[in-house]
Amino acid sequence: MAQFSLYEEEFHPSPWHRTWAAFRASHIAFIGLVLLGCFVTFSIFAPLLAPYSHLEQNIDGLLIAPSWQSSGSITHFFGTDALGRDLFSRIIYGCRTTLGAGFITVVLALLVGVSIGTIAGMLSGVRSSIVNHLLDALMAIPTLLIAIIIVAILGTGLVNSMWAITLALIPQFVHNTRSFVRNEMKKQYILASRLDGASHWQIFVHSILPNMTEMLVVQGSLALSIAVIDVSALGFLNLGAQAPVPELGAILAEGLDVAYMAPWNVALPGITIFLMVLSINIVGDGLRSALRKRVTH
Amino acid sequence: MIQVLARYIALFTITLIVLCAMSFSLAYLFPGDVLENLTGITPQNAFQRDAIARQLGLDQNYFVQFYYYLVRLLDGDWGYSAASGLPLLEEIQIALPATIELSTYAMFMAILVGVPLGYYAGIKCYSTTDYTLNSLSITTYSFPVFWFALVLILLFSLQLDVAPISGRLSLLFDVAPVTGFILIDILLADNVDHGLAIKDALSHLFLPTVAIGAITTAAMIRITRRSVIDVMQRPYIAAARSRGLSSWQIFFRHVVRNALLPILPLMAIQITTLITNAMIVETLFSWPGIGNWLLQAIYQQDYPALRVGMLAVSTLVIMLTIIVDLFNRLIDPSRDRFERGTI
Repeated sequence: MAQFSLYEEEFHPSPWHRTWAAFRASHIAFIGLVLLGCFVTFSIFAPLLAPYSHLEQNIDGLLIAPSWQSSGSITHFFGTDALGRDLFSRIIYGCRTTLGAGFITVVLALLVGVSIGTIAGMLSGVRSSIVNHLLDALMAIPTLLIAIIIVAILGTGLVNSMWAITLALIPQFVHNTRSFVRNEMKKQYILASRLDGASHWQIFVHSILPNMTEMLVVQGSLALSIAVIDVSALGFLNLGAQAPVPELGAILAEGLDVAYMAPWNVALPGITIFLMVLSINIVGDGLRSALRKRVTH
Repeated sequence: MIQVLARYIALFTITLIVLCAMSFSLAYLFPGDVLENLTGITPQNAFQRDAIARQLGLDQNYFVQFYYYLVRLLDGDWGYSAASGLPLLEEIQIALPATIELSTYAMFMAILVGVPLGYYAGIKCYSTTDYTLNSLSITTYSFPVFWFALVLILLFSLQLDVAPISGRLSLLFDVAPVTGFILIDILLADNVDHGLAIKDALSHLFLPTVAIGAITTAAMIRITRRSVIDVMQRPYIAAARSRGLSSWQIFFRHVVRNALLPILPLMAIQITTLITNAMIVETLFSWPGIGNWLLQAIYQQDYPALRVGMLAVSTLVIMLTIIVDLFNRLIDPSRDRFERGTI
């Protein structure tokens, strides 16, 4: 522990403060955070920010080009689609659907995964072994396959595809939580609280969980980027969100029908998904290296 | 060693039985008639229906039915497709190798391009080259695969016209499927010009392989880079340096092999992503693989096909994962069983 001037410093930054300082030192990570902040703002305030309704059809303005082309008009910033719906509004609502669906699936998967992972990590012997092996096997089944099966049983729809993605995301949370809990259980501070007579539940809530939150945030950001890609991929394959629902992958798939006449209907939703995933990945990466810097220094 | 092997074989068998049970239960979970879901045959009259039901053991309890189901799976009687009426085993034997072929080439691309670049970035860590490579890989990694494939089609097929837009081989070549792997089949066929046919097959392979491979390559670069950086910070590297070894000697004697160890288990995770991506890209390029086949099955509500398709794909993926895991355990016994590296 080479904390040189720890006691001479006027201000003692908390672990979160130090992570934040390390995170902010990287410009790229900060730009990613700002970009992600934009997408989150779009998602939360979609009805206020969107100039038109996402369902409003304008028969007189089919396939209007985006405003930066000479044939475009400023009334429709990103142009319109084959039904005359304003693409900019649809993309804003699309951010809401895609990011929101991704967020909900990640939170669900995190809750379930952490519970199972903690139990598996605290247990030992045959029970733990069975959980481990079955989960490792489940982890290998591709999301798309789980989605296809769930869609075949329950029918297509955004909610059903979210179930599939949640199922596919759970194993990695279980895996990471389990190895984390196993490692922590060997440490002395756990032994100390156990000698104080703490129950399994008290050890988890007071000792392990506070140490685990950072790992969970990083894992969650990774899972969010996977979830967003999966939600849009299933929407694109027509297995997830159905036609009028503004979901970025579904908007892209609809745009594919008019790809020759109106390429912006394919390009713009695609770029939006790309930027969204990129910003999530950059923030996740920045968080991870910030944590690593804090731990090693 | 034998104990480890036995453990993995037991694990594989148990997983396989669980998967078969899942596939069997799908016949009940899917909408429609259980009998039709299990066989793909629509009985013409009550008499025929009774005969088939007796053959499947449908009049007995679930365990007996499951036993009959296992026996039929092992016999190769996988039922018939409700859409095309063909035996499902034959259809899967044609579709699955096409996907394996595509994924193999993409994986080769990822290993041949991604691993060396990752080594390079790892050695030059925190330099401009490293930052460039890292940003490039995180950008590629963020592409949604279906959109990336569309951009490739737009660029290479429609604008530059250097690669065909869809399919596996020009219809001019009449190549009978023997192994299911197109390049091997062409070499085995005797009625075509091998040179021309291979050239045509490669031009068809180019775009889908790049679309799938680029994302795995990006992941590979990040994994390898992290692993190399971790190895470079170990005490034995400092020891080697203090002994006066040149950086090339350190790299070849100490870094290369040690950095490969954490890469392998992460590769096992990449296999799943790779196959998912392959399945999505297949639909865009009309590649006659298992992903395309499964999606057609779901659009046509072909439940018997989904039942065995799920079994085939998950068996393939789990087999690959377990083999990589086993291999990893054999070459690196010091590693904790549950430990996995980070990117």
